[in-house]
Amino acid sequence: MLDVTNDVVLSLRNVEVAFPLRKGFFAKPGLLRAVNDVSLDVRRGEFISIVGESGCGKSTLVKTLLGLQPATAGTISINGKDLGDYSRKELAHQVQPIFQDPYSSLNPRKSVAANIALPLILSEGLKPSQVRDRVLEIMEMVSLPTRLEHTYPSQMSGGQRQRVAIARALITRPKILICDEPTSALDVSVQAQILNLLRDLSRRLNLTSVFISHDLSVVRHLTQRVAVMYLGRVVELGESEHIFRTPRHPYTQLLIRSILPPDPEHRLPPVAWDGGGPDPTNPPSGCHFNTRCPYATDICRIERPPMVEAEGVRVACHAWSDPEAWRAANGEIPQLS
Amino acid sequence: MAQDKDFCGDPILSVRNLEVVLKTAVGELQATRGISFDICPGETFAIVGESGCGKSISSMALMGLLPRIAKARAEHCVFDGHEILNMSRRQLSGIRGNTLSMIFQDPMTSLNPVYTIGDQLTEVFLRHGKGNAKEARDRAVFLLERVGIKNASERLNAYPHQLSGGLRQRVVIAMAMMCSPKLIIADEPTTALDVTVQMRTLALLSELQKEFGLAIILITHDLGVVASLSDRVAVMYAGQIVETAPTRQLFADPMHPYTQGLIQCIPSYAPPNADAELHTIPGMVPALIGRQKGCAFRNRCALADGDCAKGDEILMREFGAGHGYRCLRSEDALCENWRSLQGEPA
Repeated sequence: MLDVTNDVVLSLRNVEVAFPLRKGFFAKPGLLRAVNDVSLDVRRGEFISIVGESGCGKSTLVKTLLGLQPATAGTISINGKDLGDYSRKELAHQVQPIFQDPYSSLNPRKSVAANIALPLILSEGLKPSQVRDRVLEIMEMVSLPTRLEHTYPSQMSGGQRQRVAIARALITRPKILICDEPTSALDVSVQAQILNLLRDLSRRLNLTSVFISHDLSVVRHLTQRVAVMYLGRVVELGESEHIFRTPRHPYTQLLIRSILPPDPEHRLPPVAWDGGGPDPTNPPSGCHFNTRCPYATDICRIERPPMVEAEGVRVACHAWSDPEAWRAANGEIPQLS
Repeated sequence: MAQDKDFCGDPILSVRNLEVVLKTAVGELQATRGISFDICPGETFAIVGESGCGKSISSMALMGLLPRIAKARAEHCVFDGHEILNMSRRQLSGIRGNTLSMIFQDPMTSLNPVYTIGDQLTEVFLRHGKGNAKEARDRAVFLLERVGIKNASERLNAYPHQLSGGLRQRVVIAMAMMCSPKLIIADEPTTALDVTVQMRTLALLSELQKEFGLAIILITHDLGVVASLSDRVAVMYAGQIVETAPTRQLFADPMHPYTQGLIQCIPSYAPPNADAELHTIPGMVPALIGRQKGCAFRNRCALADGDCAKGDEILMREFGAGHGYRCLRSEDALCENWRSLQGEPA
């Protein structure tokens, strides 16, 4: 592994989350591997992103990290201790979530202060009067005027609600913040405010942040490392600048080509319709991406590519396992056109 | 209006001073005011703005789909030679889906889950008396193939839930094309889709437009979509068009402080400067209850002064051909502001 072990806050080893499926009454139960053999180390104070299309397993991974969905195989450890060994109360002081939609993630019948205080009241058994100071302090930290203490979420704008959600996540002083598309329900001008706030807070509090997103411009702006997921597997992992400048995996290249920059000189690339992602209940054999990959050869359809080190990033693609042999056999190596 | 009156000879849709008012429990809400634009045949006109700026409700007004609490008035609203705002339901349904059709945001809710896509595609065609069942079927197969759906004649028997999100949106696009419309209003057509699918769907729309000479009104909040697809743009804020320009012109020389802020607060896909904060527009969109005065953006604007609160509305001023903006500041001050936002020395 690349990382220094004592600095690793969150460590995933061959994590699998599978759901049983039954297609018909008499059919043999199938298995949907939403997260499939994911290994990842997250260092203290790091801002790491997980990107991928819908159905790639990023939200399932979030649920697993929060202890809401047990992993069916592999180990997850937080600060060197297995996730399963934490009680719910202890876990609340380690990991906290910020969800996508601040309209449904806040309790509409509780005031702002009550919403923010709840994790602390539940995990430490305190009375609301005992936590008021900390609520006000945290509201100040996320730039929510303290006069909003007794208002209700329905009286607030989307950006303010997301600030409430961030305050609620920070009140237990967690070590790890999990942000599941925290700005995709917000308008661009508000999105910028929230992104600045998240970056500022994670630096100030030395938080480790796992950021789930499908917006690659946001990811590039915000994070130091990126993990690209496709159909439950991590296909590329590395420093964000490396990956964005020279993406190795054909899927990462496809994602980067799909970005629409706010630049009228940019033309839509002429790409054939490839039918979109395959059925996750019946993924293609070999490399999962082979059905959409312009470079796929026979080996891609048979053998699963191992995760290899290629010029500073880790990538799971046969072309990069042995670039010389690939070039000799197939002529071209996947690159961003 | 200082707007593109002579931009194209014969607009397919001409809207002058469209105003939509909603009656709410707390008073009249002015959802839009003074919306004016012309759409030329074959062009893509983007309407961009944040949620609540009135972009969707203006298009709903054009389609006659406003909720009961809403009332629309306009000087005129002429589509293809007909005044459409005060049409009877009967007359309207002769136009909707026929020469004027619409693509909505979420393909799952705009398709009926209990009918096959074949039924839904042919229904439009038959309803408008374009031909018999056989011709309807042929047209449906042709269009499904055209939008890139393989085995089109078999897919006609599929139900919407059997298709992926991207395919469903393709079916919706095919359905909008069934009667060879002159204008399609696309309301956030790709917001619910994945990025890779979004790019392909937009590329498809632009191909179809060239092939069939369609005009498209593209409603979106995403400036990336605007930049890659549209010919002209109108930026809306709090119910008004605050700036309108040819797309290239708008991105090169945005004049209104709101447009400038909006362009600047997108995380650019460029190597980031580790300590660079994103530009933000302080504050939030004002409530639109009651009669609106002056510039709606004045409370969030760095250049605002007392004059911005005066008068009924700020008039559109011209800056080059087809480029208008509603702001009282001088051109020099606005250009200066844009340069300083971009971090360039004056």
